[in-house]
Amino acid sequence: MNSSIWPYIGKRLLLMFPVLLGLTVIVFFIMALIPGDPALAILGAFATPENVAQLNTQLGLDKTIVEQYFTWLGNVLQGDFGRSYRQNRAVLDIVTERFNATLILAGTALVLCSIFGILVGIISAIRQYGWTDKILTFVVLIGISTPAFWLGLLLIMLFAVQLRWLPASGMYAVYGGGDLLDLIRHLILPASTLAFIATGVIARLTRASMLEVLRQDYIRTARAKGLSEHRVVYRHAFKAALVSIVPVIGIQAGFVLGGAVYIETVFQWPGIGSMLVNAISTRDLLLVQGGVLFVAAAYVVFNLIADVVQVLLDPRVTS
Amino acid sequence: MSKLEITDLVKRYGGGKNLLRQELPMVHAVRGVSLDVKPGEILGIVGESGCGKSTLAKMLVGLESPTEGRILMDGVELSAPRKKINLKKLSQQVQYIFQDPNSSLNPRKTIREILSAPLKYLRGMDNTEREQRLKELMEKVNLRSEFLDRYPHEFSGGQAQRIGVARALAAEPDLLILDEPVSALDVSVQAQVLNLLKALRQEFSLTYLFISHDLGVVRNFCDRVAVMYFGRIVERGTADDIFRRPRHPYTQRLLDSVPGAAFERLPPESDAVILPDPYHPPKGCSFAPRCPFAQARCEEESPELTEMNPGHDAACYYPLDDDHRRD
Amino acid sequence: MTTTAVSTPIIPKRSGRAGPLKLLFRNQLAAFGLIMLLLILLLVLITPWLPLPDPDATALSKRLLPIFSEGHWLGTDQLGRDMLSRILWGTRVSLAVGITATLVAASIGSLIGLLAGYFGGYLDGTLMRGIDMLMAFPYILLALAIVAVLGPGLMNALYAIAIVNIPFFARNVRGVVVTLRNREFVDAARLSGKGDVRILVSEILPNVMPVIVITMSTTVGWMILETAGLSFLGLGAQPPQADLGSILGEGRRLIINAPHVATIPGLVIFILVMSINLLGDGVRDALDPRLKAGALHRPAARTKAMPEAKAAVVGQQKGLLEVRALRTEFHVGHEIHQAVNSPSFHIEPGECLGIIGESGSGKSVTAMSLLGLVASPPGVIMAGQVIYKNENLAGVSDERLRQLRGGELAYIFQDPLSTLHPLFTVGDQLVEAMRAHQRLSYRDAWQKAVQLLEQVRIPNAKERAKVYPHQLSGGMRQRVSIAMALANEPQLIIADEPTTALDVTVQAQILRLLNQLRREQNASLMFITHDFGVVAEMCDRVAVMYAGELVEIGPVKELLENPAHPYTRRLIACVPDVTKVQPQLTEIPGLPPQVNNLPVGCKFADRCDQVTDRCRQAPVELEALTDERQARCIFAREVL
Repeated sequence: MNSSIWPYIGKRLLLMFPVLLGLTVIVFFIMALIPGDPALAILGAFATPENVAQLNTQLGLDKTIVEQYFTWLGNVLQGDFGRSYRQNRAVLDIVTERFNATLILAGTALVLCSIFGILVGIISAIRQYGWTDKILTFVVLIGISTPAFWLGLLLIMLFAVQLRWLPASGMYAVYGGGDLLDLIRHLILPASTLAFIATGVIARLTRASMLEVLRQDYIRTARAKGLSEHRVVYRHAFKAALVSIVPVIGIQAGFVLGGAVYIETVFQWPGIGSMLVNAISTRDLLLVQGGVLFVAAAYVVFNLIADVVQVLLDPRVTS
Repeated sequence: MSKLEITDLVKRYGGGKNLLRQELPMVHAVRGVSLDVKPGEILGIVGESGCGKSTLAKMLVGLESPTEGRILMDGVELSAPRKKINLKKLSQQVQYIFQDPNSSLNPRKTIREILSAPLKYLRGMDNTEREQRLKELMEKVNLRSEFLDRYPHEFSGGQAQRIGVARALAAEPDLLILDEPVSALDVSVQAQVLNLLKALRQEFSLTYLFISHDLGVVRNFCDRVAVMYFGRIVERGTADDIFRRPRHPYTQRLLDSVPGAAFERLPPESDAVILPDPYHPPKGCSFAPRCPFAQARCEEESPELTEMNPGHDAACYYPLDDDHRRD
Repeated sequence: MTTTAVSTPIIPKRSGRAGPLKLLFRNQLAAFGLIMLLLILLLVLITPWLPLPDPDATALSKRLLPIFSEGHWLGTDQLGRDMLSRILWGTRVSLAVGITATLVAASIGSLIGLLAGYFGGYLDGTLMRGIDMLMAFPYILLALAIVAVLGPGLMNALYAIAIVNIPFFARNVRGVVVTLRNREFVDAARLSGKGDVRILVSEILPNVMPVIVITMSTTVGWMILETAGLSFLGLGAQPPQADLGSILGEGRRLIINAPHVATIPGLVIFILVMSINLLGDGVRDALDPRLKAGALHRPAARTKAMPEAKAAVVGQQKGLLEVRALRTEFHVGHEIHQAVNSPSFHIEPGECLGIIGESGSGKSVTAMSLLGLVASPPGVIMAGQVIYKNENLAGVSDERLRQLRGGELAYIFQDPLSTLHPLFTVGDQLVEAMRAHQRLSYRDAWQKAVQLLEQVRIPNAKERAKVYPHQLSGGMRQRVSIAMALANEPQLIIADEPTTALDVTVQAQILRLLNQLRREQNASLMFITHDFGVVAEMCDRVAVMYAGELVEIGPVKELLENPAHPYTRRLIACVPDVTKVQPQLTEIPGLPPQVNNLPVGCKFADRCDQVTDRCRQAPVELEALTDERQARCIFAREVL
């Protein structure tokens, strides 16, 4: 292993903190921009002016916005994201509880779409312009063009309503109630919906990078060395293609986390996405703030992992 | 008076400090070059890749600004460090011919649009004047004026390079900087362009600064030659002196390396040649690690250009003599 | 003007390559997408004049009518509103929002990309950090957060979707602008007196437009999907306003009793987005310049060979390797480029044969045809034979070819940076080369790899075996390539311009090394070059190529001193000599013929000063002048 990658990884880790800090700034100021009086919003239209003033002081809203930010940031760093006024529970508790469910769903979908995306992409590239390629390309395009929430509904209609093979909703196993089998039964439909939608991007990119790489001079060299075609494609070409595929898997993590919002709503999956949608329509802003920040931070961490994997693959990045 | 006079020109890239106050790497591209070009002559600059010859050229036309040093043209200062260059004024006097003719023409513009730009913006010609001048220019570079409405990809390398010459001429400059103008061309086409350039110099009494790595071309095209190694001029003189009586061992090494020419006066070079590091230039002569005649002094002090014969300078403590053997 | 001849008019290179529109229609799927999209657009545009019920007119008596009901083709929804009318009006809204969001994102994003890419420095840093921050949020989540702030509503959803898509445009455009900014034509425009604004608008923007259009065509589908998604969640269009997403959202509670209310709008979204994506793919392919040249085809493991080229060997083979009337063509669209036109030659054991020619002469294609390394498509070996050990290499099995490649017949290519794999260490690549031909453990092979590196005089070989190609200088990399060629004790090394990318002093070292090693191993060398000096230094015999033909072949010294073909003679005269000054450089007027439009007779006739009518009438054959010399000129005998 090349030892010069460790300083680079260290640098990348250090660079993660300004990004996380930036996230908090954006999230905080977006929320601060909300028109209207938050205290009024929290207490409702019948609040007395005294109550409003008291809550304003309690929330620190009588200070300048910058002071408010630092107070808030200090609290966030101590794990205090405030309280959801609708559920009257600490935001952190709700969010962490919900986040597990989202991780299970999005994680499964990401693994599935990476495996299928790469497989489909490689097969398409090898059979370029053949029938297999044409059919796969078309299926991939269908995946990219399908609204996730609609596909979810169709699957519910088919597998839950018509065939009654799989449950349409009611996933509670993550809270510890059900067993693993129950979890998997509930997971199949939402995870495959999400994976089907997300596979397209990875498949297309894999196909394109494989084709790009296969035209390179070093592939000709590999053939001129007398390597078998199998080795040329799966060792020489695939490794080089992977360098551009890995960052896209990182980006797809964001797509899957975001797409979970629809899927969780359709399948009533008790994750952070459905929670956010509810919180937005009930204007439970502290909950929205906490949820967004949490998911965004998770995404940043995931992208960091993708970056590190890329560095391990490509020694040129560090120099 | 010299057409062009360069004094102690230096170009460094990078450097400075980062947020953590660590020194950032700094590349020393040109490390103190002084030159003068006489009116109407062709001065050749020879060197291998990374020797700073292209950076030097870019500074002369104002595409890069020097870190230190002065450039005088006809005795007037063209550019000085930390002074904004008036590129428009400079472009009316000095023009540039690029190495890769195809990449120097915008693929989405017709030849007419490409050639019109200098006429319009540098010479302030109106439509009718321009039309006339465009035809003349095409004729000067032996291209038919019907080609004006074609796009660059429709031309061969040699033709594209002639369009590049026409564009440079459109600005009516006195001095042309030619940066490897024929190295992207095949030999048979190369001669066409070189002969055209020679004819144009005569016709418009132009001065050329000709940058090349091809020693055969330089010998046949240039009046005087300067040899660059690692950001410095190591030898300069008439083409005849440089090629027949080289003083600097590096010049001799270059000549020896020309395949098929059978100079081979130095012992073959060792296989573990150490090239100087542009981030940390050595304090002594930068050729010393490769030089068969290097002494202790060469590693310690950097030799200045000194006159060997009238009009023939070399930067070497132990120069070769006329028989290419050291005294 | 002086002796410089006026250039012959060029043959325009316009033919054959199709324009973007033509390419778009050649792609049937894209044409289908375009037609679908136009149909939808037409329907949506004439909707206000269609005899349809008011989309918002409720009729509780007619709730949830199924599809194909009388007067309601697509049935009614839970409030008895006509679905067809609602869908058409909803499609109008969805399309309008999607397209507007795309235009907003494209203009703002492209502007950011242009400015950041062109000016660089702090502006670039600041703008792109901002874009990075936007990208640090998972895609839809940021849109949700924006809607959370602005409040639910169609316009707010539009803003949210537009903002979320700005980074795609900014990044793509910036990437292209950064490469364009460093292109020489931008410098040229600056030296033509153009200022920054003019350069941005008239030089850079036209070259960026294809990228903007491609990005638009690939994102507009997403944007429609995402606006529909926000509406589906109840955060976009608010009643009574309705887009496809909100109709679907309202219908989703009814999937058991009245599935049509949810499925139809979803189907319409799908058809709409699918047509856009089909068209978008077509647009992308049509605007991608590489596709026009057919360069995105995957090269097959070996060059395609026609049956005629695979025929078994007849008669006795000459020398170590013999090439008989080899014909390689490139088939690009309907055009045929005759790159190699039947050269015949052979290489003796231990001999160095030079092949010299200008660009486009077919010298490299000849060399790569020997072991089927010409990219195919577009390359095809049409006829002729490459004979080694009495086998025709174009006809042998894949496995036999694999054994020969890098084994008895080895290659060295021109640019060692692009020809070595960037992600494997130098030692690893050498080990692989050996283990493809010899039964060796990895450790033993590694030992041998280090020995090979020592053999090509790489200092500190043990450590250098562990580095990646980009960590070596050009000369060192080419030494690695030589080591790789020597790894399996080759009989013949085919070196394709191995020193062209190198500096002259490094070239001298590499040539010396190559010569020495191949003599030690007693291998033959086929040396492809454009440099007569290199030929004089390295080769025993030399073959001169012009327009795919072999025009002259013979011993180097004789051929250089007394060339028989006018092309050879004039080409030698063209080379500026470093040992003496010529008052005027000799030039060959005109250009070589285009290989897709070759003349019948002598290919050099148009540029030759001795040309007669006879030269043009019929093909000129290669004629033996002495035992060792051949030339393709009817006057060759008179010269010698």
